[in-house]
Amino acid sequence: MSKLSSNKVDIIMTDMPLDNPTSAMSQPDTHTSTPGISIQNVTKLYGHNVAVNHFSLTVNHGEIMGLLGPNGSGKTTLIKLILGFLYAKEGQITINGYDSDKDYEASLEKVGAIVENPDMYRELSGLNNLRLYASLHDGIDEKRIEEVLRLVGMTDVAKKKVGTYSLGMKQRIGIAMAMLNNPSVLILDEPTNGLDPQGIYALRSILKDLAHNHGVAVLISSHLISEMEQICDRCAVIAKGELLSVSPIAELLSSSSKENMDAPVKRITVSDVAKAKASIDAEYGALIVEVTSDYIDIRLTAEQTAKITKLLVLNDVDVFNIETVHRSLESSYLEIVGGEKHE
Amino acid sequence: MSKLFAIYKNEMVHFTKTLFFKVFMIILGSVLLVTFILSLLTNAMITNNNDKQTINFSTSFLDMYYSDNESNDFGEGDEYLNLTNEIRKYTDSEEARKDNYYDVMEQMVEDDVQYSDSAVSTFSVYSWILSAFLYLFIAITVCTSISNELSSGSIKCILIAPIRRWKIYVGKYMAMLSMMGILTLIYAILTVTLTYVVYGVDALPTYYITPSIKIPSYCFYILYMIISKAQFILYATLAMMFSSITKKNAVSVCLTFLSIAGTSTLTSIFSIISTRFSQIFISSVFDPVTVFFPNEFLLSEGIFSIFNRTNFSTIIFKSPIYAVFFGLLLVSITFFIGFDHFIHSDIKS
Repeated sequence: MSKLSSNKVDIIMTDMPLDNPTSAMSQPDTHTSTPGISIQNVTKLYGHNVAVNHFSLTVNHGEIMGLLGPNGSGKTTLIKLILGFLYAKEGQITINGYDSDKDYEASLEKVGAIVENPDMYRELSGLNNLRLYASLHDGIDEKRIEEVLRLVGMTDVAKKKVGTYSLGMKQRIGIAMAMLNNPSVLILDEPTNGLDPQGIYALRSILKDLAHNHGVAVLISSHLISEMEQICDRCAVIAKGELLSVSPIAELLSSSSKENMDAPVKRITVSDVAKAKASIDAEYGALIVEVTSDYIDIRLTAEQTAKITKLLVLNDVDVFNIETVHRSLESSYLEIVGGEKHE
Repeated sequence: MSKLFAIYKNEMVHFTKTLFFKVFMIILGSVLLVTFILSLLTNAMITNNNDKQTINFSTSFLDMYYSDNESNDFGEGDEYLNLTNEIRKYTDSEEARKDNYYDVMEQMVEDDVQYSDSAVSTFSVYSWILSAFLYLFIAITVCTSISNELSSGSIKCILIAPIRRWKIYVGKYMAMLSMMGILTLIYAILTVTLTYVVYGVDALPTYYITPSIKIPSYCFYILYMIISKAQFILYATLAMMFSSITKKNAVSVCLTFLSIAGTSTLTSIFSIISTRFSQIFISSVFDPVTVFFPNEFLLSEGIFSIFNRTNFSTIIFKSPIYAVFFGLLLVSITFFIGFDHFIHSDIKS
């Protein structure tokens, strides 16, 4: 086992031909007019429990849509609904313009997916698992299988049984499987689960390349907010089966709502916080957001920033740093989801 | 269709990689080797073909039995006679079959049919071993064919591919049946050949369909081995059904074997409604040999078993057409319950 998960395997993924991860995807199926995934008013019940409630979402080609939500919020249920594992009570799901109910096979023809854990046939080798999956598609040859294996850095261990793989290795095979049929829609549920830092970095690069250069629609769910922050173009927040918000990631990361963009929160790091606060309190006291032992957070326009700097210097306070405070995606997310600040 | 075949092929390949298949091959090899050695030893001890049996009986004995003459002296004669009359009333075809018994026996005496008792009994042991193997195959492979994939999650590998669920179920089902068929065929050929090698080419008797139509013993015993396992098609379908409606392997195995054990109960339940119905339809399905080879008992159970009332009545009432019809009906119902559940239920694994 330790031999299998040796550095050699891990390093290979960093050597991936990132400049051209879809060499066989010379003619990407972009469908620019039709969205990659369109979910309209979908409801799913488990007995009397509502798992997904009147959910609507569109993932366009060329964008990476993140799906964020607390445990049990319905992320995986939604992905399973898209892939036809589960039947919706009402609503419609189309993939590449094909109704996933009526044109089931056509809708999944150009879809690559990872659902939850990378489960596959343990008795078969990674290579044979890929061969099996390839046999269920038209026109995938051995060359393509070799390509994706090289892409995920699993060529050397592909002939070993999946039962002997580590979680990260299985995940790599899962990613290879998702890429195998040159998908125009990628649906990935926790794809970085078990991957090492090199693997995560490489996957991120591949996904960005696929979406932005090859027009692939990517729907990705992850519990790692930092991951989502780095990879997604848009982010959908889901809780209790309902869609709470869909916004571009930049908007979620901006300090606050639009009217405050002119006066963002500035963090002023100074030598003596008490002295600094005393000197600016009279004029700018109302604008102070937070005061700690090291810095003062204060909402300032550009002019006010210049004035306050002068004021501090005149009052003999050393100013070490002034920076605009960006909200993390985490805080935006927690705000949207509402109060579930377990951390 | 290519996707259906892909599932079928995968299932076959997958099976050959399972532990059961390897164990099956090892046990099969060992069993054959051991019985071969034992048979050789036994055979060596029997001198001058002491165990050779000849079909010899007085046809007049039978004449007496079949006559409508009510004053016969054979034990519970009246009862037998009533039965015979009842059979005659039943259908013309049954009458014809009864006559066929008589003619076949006459022909066998005329041909001086001989066979080795040891060979026939060894063969029945082989047949029993195959049944045991098939029960094991169902328990280990068929009962878990879907439930195992659901619980391990490996079914996701197939479900994310663009293939309709009915193809998955049908592909798997066909693969299971083919695998059972192939195993049975290989086993039958091996064991019959082995019996020939050990006991000689005349050890197994020729089967008489009618006095003029005969099946050579080699073909007949291979056919016998296969036909006698026909009810396993129903058992495998049951196993697939339970495998599809439960996610737990143990539950699936238990339910399957409870159902198999319950088939005799099924016969009893139907016999409340009608004894004849139960005999014609239900027991035919679970006893295919007597349906398709009605004359077989003349050899395996001794010629005088014809006078055993139970045996006689169960044989005489059975019809291959009803057996096939009712067997297919049971298989279809069972298949569609499992099939429908697999297609229309949510897969949460």
